This record gives sequence, C-alpha cells and structure tokens, in this order.
Amino acid sequence: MKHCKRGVNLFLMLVVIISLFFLSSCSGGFGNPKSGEARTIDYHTGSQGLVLRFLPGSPPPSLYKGDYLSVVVEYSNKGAYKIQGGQLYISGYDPAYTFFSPSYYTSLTAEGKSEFNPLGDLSNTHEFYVNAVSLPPGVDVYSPKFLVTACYKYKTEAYKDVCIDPDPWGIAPKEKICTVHDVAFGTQGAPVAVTSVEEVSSKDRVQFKVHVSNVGGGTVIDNVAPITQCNTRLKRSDIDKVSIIAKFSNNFLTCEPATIPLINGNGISVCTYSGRIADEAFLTVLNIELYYGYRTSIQGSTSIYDIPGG
Amino acid sequence: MKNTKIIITILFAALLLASCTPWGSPNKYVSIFTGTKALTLGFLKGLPPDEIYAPEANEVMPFQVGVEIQNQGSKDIEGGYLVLAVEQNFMKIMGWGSQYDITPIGASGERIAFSLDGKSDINPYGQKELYTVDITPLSIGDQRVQHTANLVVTACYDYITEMSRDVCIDTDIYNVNPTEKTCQANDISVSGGQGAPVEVTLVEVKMLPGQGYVIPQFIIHVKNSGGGQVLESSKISDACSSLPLTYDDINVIDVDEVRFSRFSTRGGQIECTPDKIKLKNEEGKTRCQLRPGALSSSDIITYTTPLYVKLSYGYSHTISKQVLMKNILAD
Repeated sequence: MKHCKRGVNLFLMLVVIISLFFLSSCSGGFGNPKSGEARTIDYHTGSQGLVLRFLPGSPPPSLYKGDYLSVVVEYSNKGAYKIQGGQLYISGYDPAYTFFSPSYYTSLTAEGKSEFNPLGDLSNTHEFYVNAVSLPPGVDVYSPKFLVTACYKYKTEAYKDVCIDPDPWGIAPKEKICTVHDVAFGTQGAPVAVTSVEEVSSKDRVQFKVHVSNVGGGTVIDNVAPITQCNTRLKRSDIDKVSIIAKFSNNFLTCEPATIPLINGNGISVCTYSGRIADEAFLTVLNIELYYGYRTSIQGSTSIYDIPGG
Repeated sequence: MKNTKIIITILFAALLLASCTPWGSPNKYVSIFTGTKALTLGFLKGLPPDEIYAPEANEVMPFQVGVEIQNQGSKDIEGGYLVLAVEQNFMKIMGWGSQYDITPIGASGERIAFSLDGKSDINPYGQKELYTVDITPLSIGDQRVQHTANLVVTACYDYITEMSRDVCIDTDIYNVNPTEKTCQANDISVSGGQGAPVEVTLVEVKMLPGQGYVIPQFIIHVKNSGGGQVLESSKISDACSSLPLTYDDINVIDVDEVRFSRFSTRGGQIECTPDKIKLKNEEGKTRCQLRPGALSSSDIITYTTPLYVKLSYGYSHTISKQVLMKNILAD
C-alpha cells in the first residue's frame, strides 16, 4: 500500500514537470488582449544582396579524365529588392580544355525578402557541367580554378524621420515639435547602405549630406553600365558608382553628385531642397533610394587526374 | 560492466572506420614522373671478381662479367647501346650470355643494342635486364707479378624529360580592368625531378604587355642531375663507339615541345630561344614566348592552365671496375 502510494506520487510529480515544460513553450494565449496588435517585420535590414555558395561536394575535390564535372551554385537573395535580369558566369579555367554546357553563363532572377520569404532563404540553383573533362596530352594532373560571378541591378531604400525646421535659430519663444539633428541609419537589406545623414535646415532651404557605404563585400557597378559580360567587359570607370534619388513629403531634392563615386567603399552626396517649406517645424520621412549594379563571386577548384595506365 | 565493454567496442570500431579512405580515391595518386634517375648500371657482386689469375700463354682461364641495367626513369628506352671494353693486351671477350647483334668497338670492345621499359603504373620500378659476358684473361708475361686491368661498361641511349605544371596566364598584369582573378602569375619552382636525368628546376613566368594582348613568356631552367653525360641525341651511337665526339656533340638538349592552352611550339605560336639548350656546369635555360597578338587581353580573363615542356637528348653512363691480375707463375 505504501509502495503504491509512493508510485502514484512519483507519477504525479512527473506529469507536473512535463506539463510545466509544455506550458513554458507557449507564447501568449487565446483571447490575450495584446494579440490584436499587428506584427510588423521590417525586411529592409541586413547588408547582403545576392549570396552565392557551392553545394557541398561541388566542384568535387578530384576526378579522372573523362569524368562528368558538375559545378552547382546555389544563390539566394538576402536583400529586400527583387533581382531580375541578373547574370551568372563561370570563368577562371582554360577554355581550350574545359567546355561547360549548355554555356558558361546564365541569366538569374531571385526574389528578395518578403512576408513569404522573411529571411531571404528562398534559394535557387544552377548547374554548370562538363560531360567529360579532358586533359592535354602528356599532362598528369590539372587543377583548374572556377570563379562563379553574379552581376545584377539592385536598389537600396532608406527611410528615416527627419525634422524640417524653417527657423532653427529663432529667438522667439515657441515650442517646436522637433529639433534638427543628424540621423544614423542601420542596414537597409542591401549591399550598399545609407549610413548617416547630416541635416542643415533654414527658412528657404534644407540640405542633407548623405553618407553611403558599400557594406556587402562585393563590387559596386554604375547603374548605367551594362551588367552583361561584367566579368570581362567592365572598365575602371564603370565601378564604384551609385545613383541617388532623395525626397521628403513628395518634394524631390537635388543631389550633387547625382552619381556618387565611392572611394574605399564610401561616398557622399549633398541633397538640397530650395524653397519655402513651412512656417513651423515639422517631422517628415526622408526617403533615399540608391540605384546601382553589384558583383559578387565565389571560387572553387578541382584536380583532374590522368587515368592510371591510360 | 557488460554495457561498458559494448560501448568501448563500438567506440573503437568507429575510430577504425573513421580512418578508412574511399576505395580508388584519386587523392592517393602517386606520379611516376619523379626522380632524376633513368638507366642505372651495376656489376653483379663478384662478376667480375676482384682478383683473377693471369694464365700462361695459350692457356684459357675465363671468368664472367655480369652487368645489371634497370630503367628507373619514366620513359622507355629503345635502341640504346651497351658497350663493354677491356684492356686490349690483357683480356679478350669470348662471348655474351645470349644471342645479340654484336658490333666490335675499337680493338677490344663490343657493343650490343638494348631496349628497356621505364616506370609505369603497372611497373613502378622499371624494367631490369641482366647481361653476362665471358672474358678470358691473357698472359701478363713472365716478368710481372701482377697487373691491374680496367673493365669499362658504357650505356648510351636517347631519353625524354616531360614536365607539366599549372601556370597562371594573367591577361591583365597591371590590374587595369576591375575583373577578379583566380590566380597570380608566379614563378614555378620544380623539385624532385621528372623521372629523367635532366630535370626542369624552375620556370620563370612573365606576362609582357602589348596593345590589347598579352605575351606570356617562360624562362625554363634545366639541370643535368643524373650523374652522367648529356649528348646530342643524334650522337648516341658515336658516343658508344670509337668515334670521337666534338664540343658541339655534348651537353646539348633539344626543346622538343612547349605548350599551354591551345598554343605550342609545334603549332608555331610559341618560339623558344635557343631551341637547343647548351649546358654549362650541368645547367642551362631557354626562353619561350607566345607570338605577339595571339592572346587577347580584353576578351580572355586570367586563367590557370597546364604548361607542358618536353626535352629530348642523348645520355651516357659509364661504370668501371678494376680487376687485379696475378701472375700464376709468380706464386
């Protein structure tokens, strides 16, 4: 009887502990007054655009002459802007001995982050393949390197509340709804980011000094330069340039330069609006858009051996 | 206790399995194109003996000479020559162990032809052959107590050195274009030989700029590391004969072929100067470069490709042994 009672107590204790585990994993409850609030997810975060990676085992570390060579690249758009009409290339090998099928390049499209793809994990793959790898006569082993390059057009959208004050140094004692101050930005879900804005506001003019930076680790390409054959035909004058458009309250600012040159990955543009804006200070959203092309790449290699006895 | 033993056994088995590598993995590739030996020669132990007795006149007291040759290089030898020379007044060659085409060389030598396969995937040591020759000593006269006679064996053959290494063809040496590169055009240091007595030791790689094109240039350094004598390849018969050799016949290596990508010396796109390397102090070099305009720098980006070099030459080795001839009458 005593043993039976002890067994039941142990069982009850176990049930309580397991229940506690389950209960602690719950978040909120049915009819929770806070469940009526809308959950918003900002996709404009992060410093990546298109991310490339080789699938594990691709390319293989080694293979024999005559073997099938497969180079499979997985790409996913970790930024907030949809990529369309991008190009994916493979290069770095000797075209006299290696012939990729169906071609050494392909077009690419990649959805950016969205409510259906909040982390940008939606990925695609492309396979560059060689039906039978060859070796030149008399060569025992050849280790070609493969460079897979992606080039695509991209856009950065940055928004921040700013204070427009037509009389920032006024001595009249009046309460202002906001004060003019510099603004720091986080990342915007793109490889080129607006990092900060310095504001100067006056009666008939407001000026924003916009700082931009290449934070994605790749190469920025001028928006007007073609991205086709970007692995061979790019010129020095085509890279490290970003086009900017800025506005607030549907007032477009004049940005100088409109195409920002980047030096060591950083650049500045001064965007100005001239004209009477308002009589009182007010809060509004500064909307900055950056347009550019971007190039990112990954490298891999394999070793091709002659067949023993062949 | 029993469970502990089972766990330990499973762990041990897991460790053993983790050390296994896949069957036929190409990572275990071992090249036969290594080393600086080609043909090796050696007398068999005791053949010839260190001491023999010189007979009286008209007496015959033969002894044997055993020579073992082995092709430890990576190329087959065909049409090589083996010469045995004895001191004319003190020894006489009676005959070879098997039926060979024998060519008399000078007054006291004989030559045969031989062929030997080199190292391969199915024979990693190279083919070996043994030759035996019967020799009879001649009388050294009544006045002498003893005489030291020389036996000399010389082998002469054609050989080939083949080398291939990946080289970077940089089509944008000054980084004018913002294209990414997969390699750097660095010199190639080669060590360990290529399975031949003449080895390529260094390839200096230079990319010379042109108008819209690049000129790859390779300075190929070679060295005779086999311990023998390099010959003009057409002179191996003369080298194993009584005919004299001139200065131009020795230390000469033909640059048979230099090739990378779709360009080669045989195709006329690559030119080597000189195309016959003259060795000095066992070393020499040649400069090979692509014809200007053949490789565009605007359409082709930097890539890695094998550079193939083939050298051909003659080679000779000599071994000798001294045999002490004791006067049988002196004892």
